Amino acid sequence: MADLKNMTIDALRDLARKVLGRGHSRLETKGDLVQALQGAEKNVTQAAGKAAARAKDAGARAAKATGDAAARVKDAGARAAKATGEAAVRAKDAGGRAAKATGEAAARVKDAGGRAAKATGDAAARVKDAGGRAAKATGDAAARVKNAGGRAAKATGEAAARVKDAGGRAAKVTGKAMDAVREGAGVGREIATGAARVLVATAMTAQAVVETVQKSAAATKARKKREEEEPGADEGEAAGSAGEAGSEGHMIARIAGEAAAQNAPHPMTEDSLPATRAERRSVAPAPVYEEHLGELPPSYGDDALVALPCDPTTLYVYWDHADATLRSAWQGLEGGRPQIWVFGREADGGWTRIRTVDFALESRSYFVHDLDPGRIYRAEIHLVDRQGNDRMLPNPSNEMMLPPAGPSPVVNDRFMRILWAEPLQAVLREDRAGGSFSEEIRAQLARLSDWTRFTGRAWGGSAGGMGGRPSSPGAPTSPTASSPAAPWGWYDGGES
Amino acid sequence: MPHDVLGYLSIHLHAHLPFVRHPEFDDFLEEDWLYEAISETYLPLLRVFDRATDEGIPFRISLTMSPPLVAMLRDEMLMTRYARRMEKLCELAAKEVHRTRNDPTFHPLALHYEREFKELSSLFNDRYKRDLVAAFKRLEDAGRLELVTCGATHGFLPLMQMYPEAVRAQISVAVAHHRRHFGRDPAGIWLPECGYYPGLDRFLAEANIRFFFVDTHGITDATPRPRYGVYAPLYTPSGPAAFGRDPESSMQVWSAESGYPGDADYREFYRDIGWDLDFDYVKDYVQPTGQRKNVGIKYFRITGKTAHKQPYDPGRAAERASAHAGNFMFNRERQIEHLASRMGGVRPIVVSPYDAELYGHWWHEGPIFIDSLIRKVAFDQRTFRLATPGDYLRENPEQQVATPPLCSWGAGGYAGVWLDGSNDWIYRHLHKAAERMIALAKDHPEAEGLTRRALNQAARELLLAQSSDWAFIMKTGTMVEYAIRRTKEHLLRFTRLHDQVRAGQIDETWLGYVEGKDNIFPEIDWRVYRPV
Repeated sequence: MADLKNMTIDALRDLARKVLGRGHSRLETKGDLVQALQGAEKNVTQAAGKAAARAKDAGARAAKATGDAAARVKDAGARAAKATGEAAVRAKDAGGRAAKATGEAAARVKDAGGRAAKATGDAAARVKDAGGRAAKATGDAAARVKNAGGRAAKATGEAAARVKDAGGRAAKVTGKAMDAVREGAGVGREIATGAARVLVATAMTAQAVVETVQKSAAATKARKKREEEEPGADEGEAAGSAGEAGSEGHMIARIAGEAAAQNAPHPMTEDSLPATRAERRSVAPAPVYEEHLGELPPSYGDDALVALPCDPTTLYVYWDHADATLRSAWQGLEGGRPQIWVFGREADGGWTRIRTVDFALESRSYFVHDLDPGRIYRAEIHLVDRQGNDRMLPNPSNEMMLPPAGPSPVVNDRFMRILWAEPLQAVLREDRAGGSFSEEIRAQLARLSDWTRFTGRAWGGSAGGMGGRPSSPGAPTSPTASSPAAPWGWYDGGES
Repeated sequence: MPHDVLGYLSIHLHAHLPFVRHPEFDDFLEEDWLYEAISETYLPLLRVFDRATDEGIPFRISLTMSPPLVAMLRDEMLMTRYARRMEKLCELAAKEVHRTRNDPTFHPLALHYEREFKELSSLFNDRYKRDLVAAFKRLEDAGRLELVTCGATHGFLPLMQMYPEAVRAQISVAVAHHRRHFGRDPAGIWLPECGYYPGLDRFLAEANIRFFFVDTHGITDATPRPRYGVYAPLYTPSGPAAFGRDPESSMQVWSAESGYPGDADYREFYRDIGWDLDFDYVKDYVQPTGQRKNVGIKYFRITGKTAHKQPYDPGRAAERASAHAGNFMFNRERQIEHLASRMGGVRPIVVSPYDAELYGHWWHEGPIFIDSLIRKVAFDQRTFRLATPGDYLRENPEQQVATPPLCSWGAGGYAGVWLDGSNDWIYRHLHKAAERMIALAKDHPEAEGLTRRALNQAARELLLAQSSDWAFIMKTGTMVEYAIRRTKEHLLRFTRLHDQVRAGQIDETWLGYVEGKDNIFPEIDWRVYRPV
């Protein structure tokens, strides 16, 4: 990164603003800037280093590497053409900054002296071509935007023109830089690094240009669509894009329910907006500290079988076995297949196998449905061969009780008195019989506690945030006809 | 407290957000959950509670302050960011006043928002000195609120029941955190997602937690069968009392079909100028990446069942909220009169728990509803009293004993939301991490210096990975990428810490970075995971 150190602090700030985002442009010292840029450009540097090495060995391979880079530029342009948004002004600035960065990078290339003439010459030609293609794409996009008419078209046209200029300048500077490179001789890391930077800067310029144009076009389209749908609803204000993710997804789902999140007027789900999140992440500054955390292991290899309760009739089991365990278990079995054996505990404490399920061991988990509620279960995995011989994989699962699915048949009223002032652990808890109580009233109070009296249970927390905010566009004010009357009647006439 | 009423109404607000703090970014979208909840729910509720307290209006409401939420509200960086955000919002509101100066319909609304944001900013900076936790604590000290805790990171306990040490850690870390911030032990707990399983009460009793909440079927399906339905709590075998959600009062507020918040006069959540106005105009107030988002200024009311919306009228909406409060109170009077007549001298309690963020964030007029309700209950009726679960148990120490079943308040009522094909992959990793953490605590009964720091950070990472919010987000399909990333990052950091402690080679630089990033529970002691 010696070349970064050679740049002026202003140039570093411009580069940081473009590459790292606004926050990093406020880094105080040149050293901070260089360090931050080094972190962000690590991959570029590595690629450049490799390119340099290849160029040193063979011009043809360097040309290929540069060709790949040009292809990436082309891909970037194509991706940009798909992007939507409205950052015309910002893109214009970005284009200017990128052009400036490109110029400086080119200057560095020139200063670095000429080596790798043939290889880099090919690279220059490709870069120039790429810049030309980007500029052409920009021009095409600008033309489309012009046709869209109105304010957006005007702004877009201006942006497109500026960007086109920027693209042209970038290409020109790049060409000059490459001319300078061609004058030199030999191959070196500095030149390759510089060339790579030119590529990146040019690509960024072109991408910003196309994004600018396309985002403006999308904004115009969205506004027109909205005006068609809601004439006059915005009181003359231009509506913006409605195709972006909000921060509300979690809260919408938490409070209003999954359906509300899916159906919200502005798309809230990632399925609706595949590009938005990725864009946001790509623009966000790189983390200060790269942790290189890697990925979670596919297996811990500890021969575990675990049972979890899902609902009154569904037991979930997952398993994880060491390779050696599996090899050993299969040994000597002909045509064996794995089975999950589910056991239910009997009243006397014994276990009865109540379910045998053929399954794929590779699935690593299984939902066992249609079990009896309120019973304790455990599971085992067995390998069974054609002769019916079986071998159990270690180990059996834990025991797990599924919840009951309704009121308990046990009626045995016991009461306990716990004084608030006494710590719970110090309380000697003795209960007493509750005495007689009308079963009719018990049943009536149970009915009053029953959600089935109401239309559409209001689930809590996760799946619906306790039933959900009535989703736009509104609902009746009070619980009336849809709700069965309570014994005391239900007043729905507003304030009492 | 005198026995002057037929029964009780217990309003419980569950305030919780997952721990979202990203110092590595200047601006992070998910932090908006916190900022919006502060502006739209926590500050407006504090304003309601403080005003009623200042005016001497008697009321009692219980409120969950989940540990992640408390940690974020006490985080200097996040509160500084929030203050900056409020400044920008005030600036935007002033621009709106200017923009609408010739518009007789929207100009009054713009002025309304300008006043509101200035007042909220003043409350936050001047009255509460950027410390909302202290503001809630003062209300508890004044006898108006009963604050309860939650799982340390809102971990869904029924799915970690095979590791009792992990369950106990979720509870004991939360209790210690509550004590540290509120100066007293919490009397109650909001079990994350109302998730209970038989045996959990033992760990609650260990922490001297006197009550918790379950969904309706947690009471009605208890064994033995309860005598009074959800209108009286049950003592679990270990002593903590379970209070069940009343379906009727829940429906009146929460129902998507018939709840109050859907009234045509109430503010329309989905029409926000962050989306509606020209991008150039709002670009400085949305995401720095150029993505639009809600900014909090909304000019339309729900209106009806079409996309066409009429302008919002705050005065009319406030009147409607007051009318709904009257309706809610009237129905509770009739309900409690009837229940009391059937319960043979036992005074019924109607428990109405809600997500706090419903009030204000979703239902903009929700705080006005609460304000009207507590005033009307105090002055306009004598049938029931607002009471917290703690109040009820103090006055009614004898209760039926029964064991609730495994239950939750998620869709279906059990564990299906947090355990289905979208999120089941996390459990093998969470369980392995819990197993390793327990082993670390066993093998390191004492530790100092770097090892101690690494063990404590490992405990933090495990707790953060266990948050039920991540599994929920994966299930519902919103912000899935973020939830997956958070789950994996915490698990991977835990694993690295585990490996480094085991190898005796702790990377101090990295540890320092992670301590600064995941800085929840500075007081944690890894030995909470010692084997039961």
